Amino acid sequence: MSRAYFQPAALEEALRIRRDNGEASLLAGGTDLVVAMRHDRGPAGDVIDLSKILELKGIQEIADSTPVTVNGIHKMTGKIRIGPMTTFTEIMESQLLREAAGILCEAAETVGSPQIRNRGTIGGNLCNASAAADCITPLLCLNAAVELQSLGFDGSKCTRILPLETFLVDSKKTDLRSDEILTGILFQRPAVDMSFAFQKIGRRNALAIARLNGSCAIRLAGNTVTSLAFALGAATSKPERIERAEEYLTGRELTDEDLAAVGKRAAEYVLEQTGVRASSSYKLPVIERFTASLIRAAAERSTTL
Amino acid sequence: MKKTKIQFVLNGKSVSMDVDPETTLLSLLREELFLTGTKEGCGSGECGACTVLMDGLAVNSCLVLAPQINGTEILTIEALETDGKLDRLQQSFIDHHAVQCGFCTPGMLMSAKALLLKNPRPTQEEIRIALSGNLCRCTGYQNIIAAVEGAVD
Repeated sequence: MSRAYFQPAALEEALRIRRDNGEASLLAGGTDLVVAMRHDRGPAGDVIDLSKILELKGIQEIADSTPVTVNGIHKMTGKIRIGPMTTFTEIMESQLLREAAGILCEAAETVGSPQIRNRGTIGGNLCNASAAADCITPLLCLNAAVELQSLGFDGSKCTRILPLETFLVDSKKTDLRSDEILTGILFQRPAVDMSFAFQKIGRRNALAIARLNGSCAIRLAGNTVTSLAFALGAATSKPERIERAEEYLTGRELTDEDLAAVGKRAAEYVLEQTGVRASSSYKLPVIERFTASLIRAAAERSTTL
Repeated sequence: MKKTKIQFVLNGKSVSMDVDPETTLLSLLREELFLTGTKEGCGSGECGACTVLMDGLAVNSCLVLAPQINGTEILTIEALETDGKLDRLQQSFIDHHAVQCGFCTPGMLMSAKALLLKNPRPTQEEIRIALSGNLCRCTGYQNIIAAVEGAVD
């Protein structure tokens, strides 16, 4: 095998190597790629190790001009930017994320084991694009976007910003082009009256790939749902928002009957997408209950209830 | 594959060497540096037997490619004992009968070491989380948890 191994120290150098080595694999935390390489299942091309590029690490908030007041609380609004080489441990330990988008910290806590969380990155999670990736459904509910950069042959930098749901094409397939690198994950700091929940079902607590995971973002006026984002992972071929569940519940009172009804709609959607599978007799009833429980959990955290 | 030059600190000593970029940190430690205290279990990041500290954090050395340690500080089980004296964690594992076949022990100790470096007074729940990436097929874990608790001030 004649792979070349590149370890660029700066993003621009990485983009140049990427441009000139279209078949190269990007190495982030290595928790998927190194296993694949070891079992000769990995891609055969060159490897570009992104782990030394400081520009791809870190979490920051780019504040907007004016704070807003909601329910008497002054809040800064801003865009949060997560570097793709930020590890799950760094996400869990980020005070900024804990306060602004705690759902992402909760999801990161459920990934693998401490050793995996110390190496695995959020960018790797998105680009590997497993249907069971734990950090994707929270980002879908946060309406996150991805920033993708490439370098032209004339040296000009090209940036594309795509909604995360467009970036995710199918299981293990993204819209990342062979000359592009994911350079940022962006979302607006959620309004203070939104409440969130993340849940996951796995065979055991540690080192479990999700059999089902999901996220919910809800806003209530009294007991009436005024806005709902709801996404499931490991249910269909990619993590996705379940629009018919969102549409059904928006504008309704949050009752046990309607929660059961919304669970049925989520399960129906999954059945339409996947057809009947060996796992259906387990998964479909679980999706019904899981959906209701997840939306209930998000609602229970609402300050307006 | 063309060899890559790397520099890192291994158990407190500076090391400079040429490595095959497809070699894992685990193979480098065991087969080239002859530090065989670090064990290979599953080789795919699920069992924690190969746990070492990389810049103070527990990592599975089977999932780290050798060039990725360039510029970092690696601590292996061989460094726990200093001047012939066992680390408190090691002594506590002995005192609490936390070792049976012993294969998982180096990984368990390194995960516990990473925890205590970051959090010198962990709760039992925090100890359980810190060891959740390490499998043991003998002890049933209780004595291992007790051993880590016993090493806390």
